[in-house]
Amino acid sequence: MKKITSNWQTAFVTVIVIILAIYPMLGPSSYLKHLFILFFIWSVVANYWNLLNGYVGINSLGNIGFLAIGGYTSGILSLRFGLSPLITIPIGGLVTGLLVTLFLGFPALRLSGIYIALLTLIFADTLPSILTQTRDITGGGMGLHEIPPFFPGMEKVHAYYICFLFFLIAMLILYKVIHSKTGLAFVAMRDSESLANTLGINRYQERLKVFAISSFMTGIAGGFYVHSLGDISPTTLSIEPFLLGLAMIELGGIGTFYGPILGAGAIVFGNEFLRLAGTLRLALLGALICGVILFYPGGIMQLVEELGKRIKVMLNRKKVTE
Amino acid sequence: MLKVDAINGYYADLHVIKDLSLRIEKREVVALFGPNGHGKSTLLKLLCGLQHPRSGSVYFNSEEITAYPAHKIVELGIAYIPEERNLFGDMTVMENLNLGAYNKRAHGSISQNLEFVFEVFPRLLERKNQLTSTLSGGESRMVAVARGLMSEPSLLMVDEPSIGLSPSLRNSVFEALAKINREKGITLLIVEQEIRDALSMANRVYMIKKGQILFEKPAAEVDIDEIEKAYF
Repeated sequence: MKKITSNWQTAFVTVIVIILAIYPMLGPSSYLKHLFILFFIWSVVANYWNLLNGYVGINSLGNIGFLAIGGYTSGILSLRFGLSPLITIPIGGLVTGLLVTLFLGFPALRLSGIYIALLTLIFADTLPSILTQTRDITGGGMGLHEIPPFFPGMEKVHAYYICFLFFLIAMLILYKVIHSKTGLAFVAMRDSESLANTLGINRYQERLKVFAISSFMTGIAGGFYVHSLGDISPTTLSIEPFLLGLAMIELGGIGTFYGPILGAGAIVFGNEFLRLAGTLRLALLGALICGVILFYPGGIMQLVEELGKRIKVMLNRKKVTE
Repeated sequence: MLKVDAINGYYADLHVIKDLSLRIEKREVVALFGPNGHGKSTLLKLLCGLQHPRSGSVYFNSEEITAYPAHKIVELGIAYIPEERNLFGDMTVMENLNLGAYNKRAHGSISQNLEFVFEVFPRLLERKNQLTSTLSGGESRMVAVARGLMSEPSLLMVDEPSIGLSPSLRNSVFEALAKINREKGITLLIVEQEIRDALSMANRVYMIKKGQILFEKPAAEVDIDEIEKAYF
């Protein structure tokens, strides 16, 4: 039975990937392509955030900070030193991974629960003031503008495919990590740390590992973000993107692989289409998220699972009557 | 193989283990009896590194391991199977088994160990892709023991393997443990309340009361009345 459902899943995912791959050829507007680019990048951010919060149970609130560090590093290096984004994006990822592991990973070894949440929140919260103090390099409150694209003369459609490819690779890596022995160890630590220890899982090592993975990939996502959009400013670190990021994980289904991707889709597109509602936009989004948490704490993935079960029951019933 | 020298262990502020010493030789099956709440489980936790004694020392193959963290002790070859809540319910049987082989020493022999585990517990082969939260009590115990074996231990410590099992299932778990000792030469330390079953496979017995060893005897010389008397 398990095989059949996983085959359906594979088929479904393949169809979606193919649709995303041919979509730009159907001539969508530049604006829609822009939304898809945001969706690709936010999916990566949300899902690597979910790796920390959902799979390991470390309540991080600082992942937008990781995105900003990666984005700024890559943006500054390409804008001020004229380096190719091909080099600056990985450097951005490495810098993010290094800073986060050093300033969050190590202190977080001794902390648990709410204290990690506070530490990571403070970490992300110090970034805007650092940015405004270093105007010469970071552009201060105005931020960085006209950051070079991936290559000169890049069009929206190129950015779409570059970010799409990044999205696929990042998700493949995450899938591999989750289904590897390391991924099992992450879940084991979340479910019972002492039991995990008696199986030979080193709490410190695994925690550093997950901080390094999550921050490196989110930093890379930051690089893709600035080179496709062309600018970044401290507003990236304001409350709205932060809440939207968390909402993607909650709405989609925390601790699931597909949940945050669905959540990112719902929030990115929902948020844009809700702009029609004017100032009510955030209130409506908030109501949606409250509803999901109240009635479907497992998010969209819970709904998907329940529908799947119902369909299975219906199919079985059909077989019996036949 | 394992030598415990006058350790004192606490459960929060409660002095549970008092100046306790014991030794376990290679390939032995040692049964640990004693009333509930007299420190049997705490002793196992002290030995596997989940808790640490405040004084005294523990030696494993003449290496002092008193202050080692749990994950390091597993790597040396001591596996501990707790009494309850000992499986990851959201994981399949196979995933639980793979986690058992997490330590570096066990990596090389995963396939051999899997083969042995499925030979001892054929039922698990049928259930290998099932979530462990859907298993019966007996099957769950089997997975817990099997996962302990996956870590390639030389000493396996099992806390009440038979708890909550029907007599026939209890028998099959004890038979499996005996087979593990016989065929793999793995030393066993078993905490048990089913005294008759445990006596039939043990070489030696420790009776623990109020955190101290009341007596130590070869299993053949133990009189069941004597043990039952010690319980009250």
